Amino acid sequence: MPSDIYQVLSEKFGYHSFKVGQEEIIKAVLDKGDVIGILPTGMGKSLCYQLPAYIMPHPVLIISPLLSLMQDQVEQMKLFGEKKVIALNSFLLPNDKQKLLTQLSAYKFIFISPEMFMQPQVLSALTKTPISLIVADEAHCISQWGYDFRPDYLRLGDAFRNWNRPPILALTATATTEVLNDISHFLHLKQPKTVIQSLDRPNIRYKAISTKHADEKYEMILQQINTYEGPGIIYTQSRKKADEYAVKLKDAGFRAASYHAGMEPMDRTLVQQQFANHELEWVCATNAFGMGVHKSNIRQVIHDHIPSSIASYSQEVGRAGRDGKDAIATLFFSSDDEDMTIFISTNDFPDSSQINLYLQQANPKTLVDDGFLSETMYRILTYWLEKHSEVETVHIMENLRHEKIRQIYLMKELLTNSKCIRHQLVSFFGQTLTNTPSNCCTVCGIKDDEVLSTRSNEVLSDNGLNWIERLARIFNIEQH
Amino acid sequence: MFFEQILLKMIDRLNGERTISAPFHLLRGKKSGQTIQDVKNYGLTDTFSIFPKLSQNKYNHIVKKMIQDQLLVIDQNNIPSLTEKGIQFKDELEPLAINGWLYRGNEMVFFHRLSLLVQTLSHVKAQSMNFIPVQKDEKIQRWIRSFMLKVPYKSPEYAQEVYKEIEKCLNQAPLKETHRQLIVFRLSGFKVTGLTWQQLSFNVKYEPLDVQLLFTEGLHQMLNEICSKNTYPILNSLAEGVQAINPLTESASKTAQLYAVGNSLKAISSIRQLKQSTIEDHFVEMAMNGVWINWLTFFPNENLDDLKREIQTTSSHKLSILKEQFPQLSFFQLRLLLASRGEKDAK
Repeated sequence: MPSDIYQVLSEKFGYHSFKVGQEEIIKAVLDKGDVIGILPTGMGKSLCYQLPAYIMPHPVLIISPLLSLMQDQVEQMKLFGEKKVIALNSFLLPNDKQKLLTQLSAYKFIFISPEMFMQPQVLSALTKTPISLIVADEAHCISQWGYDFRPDYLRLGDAFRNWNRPPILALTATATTEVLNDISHFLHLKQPKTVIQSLDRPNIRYKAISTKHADEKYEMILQQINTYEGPGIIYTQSRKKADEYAVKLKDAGFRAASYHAGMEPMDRTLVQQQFANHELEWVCATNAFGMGVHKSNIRQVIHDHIPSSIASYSQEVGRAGRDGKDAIATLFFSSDDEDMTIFISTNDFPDSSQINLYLQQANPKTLVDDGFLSETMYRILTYWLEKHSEVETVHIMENLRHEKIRQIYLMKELLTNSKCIRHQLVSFFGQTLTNTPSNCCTVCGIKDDEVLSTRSNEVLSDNGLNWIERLARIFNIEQH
Repeated sequence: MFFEQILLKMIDRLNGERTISAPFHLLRGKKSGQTIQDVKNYGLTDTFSIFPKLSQNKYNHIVKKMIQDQLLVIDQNNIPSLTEKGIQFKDELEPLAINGWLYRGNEMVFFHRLSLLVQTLSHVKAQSMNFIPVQKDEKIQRWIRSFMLKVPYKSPEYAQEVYKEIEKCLNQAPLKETHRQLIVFRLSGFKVTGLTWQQLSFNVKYEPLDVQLLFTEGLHQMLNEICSKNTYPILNSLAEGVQAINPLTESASKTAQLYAVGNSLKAISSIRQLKQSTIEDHFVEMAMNGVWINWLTFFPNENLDDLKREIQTTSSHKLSILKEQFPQLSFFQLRLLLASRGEKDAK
């Protein structure tokens, strides 16, 4: 082996020890076999391919299903000084793309979206470039049993089949048996070594609190965050609700802002940065807030609804306590919550009449512009109708819808069946838990004040809108 | 509030000759022949393209609310007109200091460059060069990267210069305090993050749409100040290409180039693989902006001078009315004639 992995770890990353699981995955990758790595969110997944990249001779190709995730990863790598990194996605200008494709070997990390990967000229350039490792990031997206199915991802497998390819590392934070089987099957992995870490996060404590009425929730949230420290995230289901919470909390003296996909990109970046810089204490967000949240000291994550699946719940609460210190995840729910969740999460599956409409139209894209289909519906249909008949597709959509609803009921079941929340979370991912921490969850018993510090009543240092002072501060100029 | 007033003002100018979607296209700066013609015919250069990102949903929502508030009515042909209350409300609007036709949304290009430069300089000064750029747009990032290669960005004096230019410009340009606040508080630096529209709106107590409008107005005033004097060398560089020197839209410009070297309308249509009607739009735009076209090829059998004179005396800009008056002419011919009239009006 050219380099000792511990040496690279300290020289390139400044760490002296690995987090659990990382070493095993990295060694398996360096042995040049296919690997499935399962690590909890935010526990150093990317190191598993970044480190081998400094030992292996050729570039590492990272397939990343979400555009925003890709941008974020590239940004983070550049932030830490890695310049030989490039993102091949639809943001690239055609001329730049042409040029880049001829010089792929000059990079160490090549990020690529599944759509881009499937373009013949891109694929041909890639097969001609020596590559040391392919990484399928967020690999659960390949599985329709996963919570974030991306049909585009499925096509990757087809490309891999006809390619004498380098080893694949499939990474995910979510892996039930079905998902694991799908990953292995659709990516055509060859006897993959599976490295599974405990997905339990002992420093996160779980609270599920049922409320009689939906409108009590805000008061209860307010009481919770008035009593215990932030920073934190409040997850809600609609953009409107996120905005409303932010305004109410601001009026109540919190440094709060909303975050959702209806805001323009620059505003979203600003909220992420304010949160990272401690300029904000609370972010009221839809599930769009996830990528780009690089903050290790989140002490609370609050939900005011039943999330759409155990997997997405686990990912959202997983943003708390990445610094290893104690954190609380609180979920407020009322009896009629599941109806709303079902509506929201099945809304994007086209029904038989929409499928028919798609097939009738010479140019179905116009249906999106005219508001008959959502962007997501269009994406789903374009994929499925290419390989399946109308009847089959209707059937598949029915199944997907039922599966979504099943996931929601599983989540509700987890909240209401009076079993330990932590045990259930971990067993959902196919693991059994041996130890539970003190103050585990509302079922096992939890005292908030043993977990969190009380909120110190900070005085908002608000200099109003003095622009002269603000400009001087930006430029770090002493004022006289 | 300002937004609604501007909309009323536009509807008033459109003189009952355009549907409710015309102002929407004008505000978004749609580059179609019809919209460009509307700009000139109805004297709507100021508000052209001042809301490039306005969504149809949002627009419909506002219009609906304005109907409820009895500021305007829309007839069965989808043509809006102001109510008595609407007229009063419109007249309360102070004159706007914006020039959409000149800047066409490019004021944001200037601001994005400025904000990335300021963020970078602030971090250089704090000796903390690892930061996430507030501008994700590759074009802007590339522009600033190559700009910074040409300037001594590492020297504290340079940052001081930028600071002084911004402060001076904000003081010298005819701005209100709110404009200055919005522009400065939207900027980011080391450990100081700019505010979102919602946060700005909360702080200055204007509706989010009005905040964006004031922001645009502020930038136009800054740019007028920067471009009319030679005392802002750095800001002047950042404003490169922001003012529309070529009055034609990009696509019409290409058509004009092909026309200038001798291609016919039909030929251009096949060279550019665009519909003939699109190329016709370009010719109308060219005519309106005084770009030379050979009128005789489009009016081989007509007495052009007479036609131009006749069209000059009709007050309507509405094609269907003109078509009744001149049934022998095609819509394209009528639009060319109208364009020539706009040209004269402008002079």
